[in-house]
Amino acid sequence: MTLERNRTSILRFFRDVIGAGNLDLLDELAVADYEDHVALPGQGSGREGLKLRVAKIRAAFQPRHELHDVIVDADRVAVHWTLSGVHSAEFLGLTATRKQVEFDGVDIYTMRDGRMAAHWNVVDMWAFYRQVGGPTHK
Amino acid sequence: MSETENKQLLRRYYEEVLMQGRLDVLETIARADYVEHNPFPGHGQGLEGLRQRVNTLRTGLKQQFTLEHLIAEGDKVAVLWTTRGTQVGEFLGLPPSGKSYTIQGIDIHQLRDGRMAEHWDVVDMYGFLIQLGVVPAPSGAPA
Repeated sequence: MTLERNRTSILRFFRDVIGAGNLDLLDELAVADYEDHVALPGQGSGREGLKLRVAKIRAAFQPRHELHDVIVDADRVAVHWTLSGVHSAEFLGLTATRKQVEFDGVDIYTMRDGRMAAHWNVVDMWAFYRQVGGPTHK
Repeated sequence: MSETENKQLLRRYYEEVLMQGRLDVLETIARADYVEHNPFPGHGQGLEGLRQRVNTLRTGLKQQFTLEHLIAEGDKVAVLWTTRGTQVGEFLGLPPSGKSYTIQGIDIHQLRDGRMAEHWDVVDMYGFLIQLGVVPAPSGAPA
């Protein structure tokens, strides 16, 4: 069933790709022309860009994602998570602070044939910047 | 209620309550024991807490919501919205700035017996504060 296939793909993405670093699995889980609407600077396009994104996030945070909700529609999935980790490498211009971080986000994926096809998200970057002592009030 | 009906109910919340200010509609679409998991500071729970939240939003901000994605499964609905707004009044301790902004947020709604029962959200507060001029944009990061 499509819904369960979509759910399984997203759960494997968080567990095996983001969690365990198996980037090659993306060849199975994401379409080649994957479209990221919230690409990181220098991410590049498509599935190869997604691999770069995951590597960057893993290096920057050594993240552990706690999934609160995985909501699956006919062709879309929403995932609400809390990331906890250590800010261990440069991210969005901020060099590693080695600080413990914890912040929330929701990812939305459109799915094609059980594969991740496009991505949007909203992440609580304000929490991140406050925790690493980033920009303070003017 | 079906997932389609749940989505329709949520559309009423954004259109009739948040944008048109019809707070009376809340009695029809939200439960008395409504639970807010990300309350504004000092706000209460229940239907009264939700009225308080809508009032705070509408007093401080004049907003036009566009619902980009509605994703429903069972009694849960995720909504990715874009809002184009102007800070017209005091908002969460920030004095009225008259400044305009465009940000996105994602709400997660839990419905029960065909009414809004619980809510979580992640909103781009950082983008909001940068556009209001409250915090500087970090060097090297996209605004």
